[in-house]
Amino acid sequence: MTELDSKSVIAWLRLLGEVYGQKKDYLTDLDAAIGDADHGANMARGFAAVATKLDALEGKDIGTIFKTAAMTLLSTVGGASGPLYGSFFLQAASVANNKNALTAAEVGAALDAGIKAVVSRGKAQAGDKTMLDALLPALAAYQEAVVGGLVPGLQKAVEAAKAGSAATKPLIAKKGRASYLGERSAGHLDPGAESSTFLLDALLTTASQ
Amino acid sequence: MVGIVLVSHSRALAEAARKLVLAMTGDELPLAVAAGTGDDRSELGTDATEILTAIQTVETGDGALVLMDMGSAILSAETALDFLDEDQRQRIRLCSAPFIEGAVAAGVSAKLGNPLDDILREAMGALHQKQDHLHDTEPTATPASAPTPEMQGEILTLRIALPNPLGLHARPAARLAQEAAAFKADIRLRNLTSGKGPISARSLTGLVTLEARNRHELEIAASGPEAQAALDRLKAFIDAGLGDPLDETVPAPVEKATGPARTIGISSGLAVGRLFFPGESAIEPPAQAIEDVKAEYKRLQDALTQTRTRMQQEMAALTRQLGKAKAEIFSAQMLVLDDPQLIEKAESRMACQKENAARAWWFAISEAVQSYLQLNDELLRQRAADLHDVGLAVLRSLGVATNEKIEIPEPGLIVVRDLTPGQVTQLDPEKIRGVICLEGGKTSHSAILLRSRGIPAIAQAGSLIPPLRPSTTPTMAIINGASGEIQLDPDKATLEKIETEQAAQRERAALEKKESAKPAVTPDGRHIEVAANVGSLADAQTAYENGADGIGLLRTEFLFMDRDSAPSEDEQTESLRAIVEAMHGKPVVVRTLDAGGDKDLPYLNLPQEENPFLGVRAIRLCLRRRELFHTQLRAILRAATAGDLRIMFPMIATMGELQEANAELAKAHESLLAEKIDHPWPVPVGMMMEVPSAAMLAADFAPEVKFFSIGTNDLTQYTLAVDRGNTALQDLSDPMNPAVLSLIERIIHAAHAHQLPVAICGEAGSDPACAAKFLALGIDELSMNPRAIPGMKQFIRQPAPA
Repeated sequence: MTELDSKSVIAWLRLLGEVYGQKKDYLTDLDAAIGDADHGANMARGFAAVATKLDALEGKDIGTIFKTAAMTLLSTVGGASGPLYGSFFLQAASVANNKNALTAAEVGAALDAGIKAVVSRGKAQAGDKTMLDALLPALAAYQEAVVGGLVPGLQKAVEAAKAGSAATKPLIAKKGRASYLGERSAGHLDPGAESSTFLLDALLTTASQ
Repeated sequence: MVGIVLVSHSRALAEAARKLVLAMTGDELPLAVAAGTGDDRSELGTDATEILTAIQTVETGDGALVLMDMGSAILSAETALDFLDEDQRQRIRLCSAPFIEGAVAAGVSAKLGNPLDDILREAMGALHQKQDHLHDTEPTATPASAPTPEMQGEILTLRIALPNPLGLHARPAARLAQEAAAFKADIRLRNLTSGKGPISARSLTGLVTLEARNRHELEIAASGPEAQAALDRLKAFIDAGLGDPLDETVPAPVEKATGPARTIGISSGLAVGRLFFPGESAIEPPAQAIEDVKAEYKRLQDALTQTRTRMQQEMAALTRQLGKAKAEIFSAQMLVLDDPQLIEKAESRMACQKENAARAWWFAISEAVQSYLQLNDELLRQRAADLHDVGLAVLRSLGVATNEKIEIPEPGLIVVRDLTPGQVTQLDPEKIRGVICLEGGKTSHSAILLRSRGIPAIAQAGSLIPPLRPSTTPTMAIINGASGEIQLDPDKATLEKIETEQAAQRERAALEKKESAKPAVTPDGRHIEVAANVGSLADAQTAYENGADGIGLLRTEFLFMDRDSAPSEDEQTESLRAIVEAMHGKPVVVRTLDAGGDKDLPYLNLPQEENPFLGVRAIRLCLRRRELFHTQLRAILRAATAGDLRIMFPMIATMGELQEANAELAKAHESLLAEKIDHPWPVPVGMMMEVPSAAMLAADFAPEVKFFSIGTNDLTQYTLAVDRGNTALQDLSDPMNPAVLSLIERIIHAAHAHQLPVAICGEAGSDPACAAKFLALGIDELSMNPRAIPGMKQFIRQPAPA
C-alpha cells in the first residue's frame, strides 16, 4: 500500500477497538503500578465507542473520520488520555480534511500535527515518562524512513516507538498521576507509551494488508 | 452574572460541591457540573464535551470561572476551551483554586455581582483562611502576592487619572502611602489601565508595583469611618500631583532591554584592570523552625522599630548633606519598615510555615525585590537595591550576620548587578579599583557612597557585559567614571600606557610614604607641620602610619553620631584618650562639638531652621546646651593626661562667644578639681577661623588664644555667600578667591604678630595649587585627610615649578 485511504483508516480504528479490548488488563496492570489503574479500561471504553461510529462513517473523508473519533474519545475515555488522544486525532483531522486518501508524506504530516497537539495539551517533553516517549522517536523515525514509502516508514516508526516505550521503564514520571510517586515510578513501563505503541502498531498492520 | 463550572472525576463529588455552594448563594447562581464518565456518569473521569456544554450553559456574557479537581479534569477543561470562539474564550477563567473552598468563595463572590477577575482572585485566596487557622500547610499553593482580606462594610470608590508626568514612582508613592495612612479607612488602589492591583494604599511596595504611569486611570476604594474624607483628600492630593511638579520633564525613557543602553559614569576616576564577576552572595538566614509564633511576630516588630530608629539617625544626617529632595528617597526607604504587604507576608510565613522572623522577613523582601526588578520603570528598578538594603538592615537587627562583603583575589574591577550601600562601605579600595554596575544609576544611594569613597564606577553596563556567561565576556576593561566611558579588552598599547602611568603613580606613592615620617621642610628652610584631619580611631592610626606630625583637627562629632542619646563623659574620655595615645605624643587638636548645620543629632531635637548654616550650630549650639558642652569639656580635659592635647572652638564669630567658651572650660576644670579628678591645666586653647567677622578681628583674637586654624570651606562659603553644597555655584565656591585669600593673609599677619601658629584645616589644604598659595602667605601648618599626607610632605620639600 502506498497510500492510506479512508477504508484503511476505518479498518485501523476498528482494529484499535479490538486491540485495546485485548490489552485492557495489560494496560490497567501497568497503570495500577504507577497510576490510578484506569488506563486500560479508559482506552477500551473510548475505542469501543469509536468502533460503534465507524459504520456510519463509510464513504466519509478522512478528516471527518478523525474528527468523529476525536470527539468520541474526548467524551468517553474519561481519563487524561481522553483529551490527549482526542487532541491527537483532532489535529490530525485538520491535515486530512476533505481527503479520501493520505500519501505517505501526508500521513507524516498528520502524525506530526497530532503529536504536536499532545505536546501542547500535556505540556510534557521527552523523558517525562509519558506517551511522548514513544510518539516522538516514532515520528522522527517515520520522517527519516518515509522516502522508502508508507509501510517502511511505519515499520521504522513502530520499531522506534517500541524502543522508546521500553526505555520508559527506568524513568521517573514527571507528568500525570504517576508523577505523585516520584522515584517510585521508576522500574515500570509507562502505560501511555505502551498504548501509543499499540496505536502505531495497528496502523502498520492495517497499512501492510 | 458570572457563571461557575465545576469539573470533577466524580459525579458524586461535584454534585455535593454544587449543594455546598448553592446553600451559600441560593439557586439563582448560574452553576453547572461536568463530572464522571461512562453511560450514566458513574465512572471516574472527565469529558471535554460535557465541560464545553456546561460552560456554554452558564456563560451568558459576563464570563465564567471553571474549577476542577485534577489530572484529566485540567486537560479536558483546556480542551473544551479550544472549541469556544475566541470572543467567548476570553471570558473564561480556568482556576487552580482548591476545588471545594474555591467553589464556595467564587460562588459567593459571583452572587454579589463581582466582575470575573475579582471572583478569580477570591477563589485563589480561598485557602488562606484555612491555612491561617491551622498553621500547618506549605502555602506553596498561595499565589505570589498573598490576597488581601476582603474590605469590610460600605465601600466607596472613585476613579482618577494620574497627572504625574513621571508616573507613580517611589517618592510620590511614598507621599501617597503616608497620606492614606492618616485616615481611619481601609483604602485600596487598582490601576485600571494596567490591570494591576488592588493593593493597600498603605503598601509602598504595592503602590509602585501598580506601575501607574502618566494618565493611567486609578480606582480608589475606601471603607471605614473616614472613607469619604480619605477619598476627598486623596483625590485632591493626586490632582495636585502628589507633591511632584506637574511640569516635570520626562527624562528620555530608559526602557528595559531596548537597544544598546549607554553606560553612565556614577563615580569619577580612571580605573583599569581585570574583570571579576563576584556574583551575588545569596543571603540565607538560618532555617531553624519556631515554636511560639506570637513571640516571633514580636521579634520582627522589635527589629523593625530598632531599624527605624537607627535609620532615622543616619538619614537625618544625610538629609542635611544631600538636601531635602534627595532625602525623600530615604524616607521612602523607611516606609518599607511600615509596609503592610511585606509584614503580612512575613507573618504569614511565620504562621503557616513556622519560619523564624529573619527567614520569613527575608522571603518577603526577596519577593518584593524580584517584583521591582521586573518593572518597566527604570527609576523604580533602581529602588530594588534600596529595598534590599533596608531588608538587610532589619536582618541585622534580628541578629543575622549579613556578610555581603565583596572580595576578589587580586586587584581589579568588579562587575555586579548593583551594589547595596552596605556593600559599598565594605569595599576594599586597595583591591577594588573600580566598579561596573550592570544596572543602577547616578541617583542611587550606592552611587553617592562610591563617590565619597573615591572608587571609580560606571552603571548601566548590562547590555555590554552579559553577566551570566563570564567565559564569553571581556577580561579587561578601562573605565572612566567621570564620562561613563568603558573600553573593553583595550589593546595592548593603551593598556600598557595606562598601567605604566598607574604603576609610576603607585611607586611614587610608596616612595612618598617611606619618606613621610620625616619632617616637611621647604627648600627655603621653613618647617611646615603636616597634620591630619581625623574623625575616628582608625583615622588616627592611618594618620600615624602616614607620618602625620599630629592631628590638626579631631572632629568629635563621631562620638555623637549613630546613637540614641549623647555619650557619657566616661565614654567620651575613653575614646578621646585612645586617639591621643594612638598619636604617641604628637599634638592632637580636639575641636569641640560641631553639630547643627549639616550634622543633625536626632536626640538633641534641634529645631528645623530656614538656613541651618546660618543657624544654631557648633559653638552657638554648645553655648545653648551647656550641659552637653560641660560634659564634653570635662571629657576632653580628662583625656589630656594621655598626651599633647589642645582644645579648639569652632565657628567663633564674636569675642563674647570665645570668652563664654573659655569660661565654660574653666568651669569644667574647676569641677574636675573639686572632684579631684586628674587632668592637666591649663590646656592650650585655639579657635577656628571660619567666620569672616572673626577673620576681620583676628588681631583682637590673637592675644586670647594659642593658635588659629582656618576652615577654608566655611570661610569661603561665608565670605562669598555661597552654599557650598549648591552645585550650580561650584565656580563661586573658590578658596582662591582674592577676598578669601585676603582674609587668610590678615589672619596670618595678626597671628604672627603674636607668635601664634596658623593652620589650614580645610579641604583646600591638600590641593597642591592651593597649598602652594597658603605656603606663600606664610602658613605654618596644613591639616588634611591622612592619606594625602605623604604626597603633601613631598610636595612641600620640592614644590613643582610654578
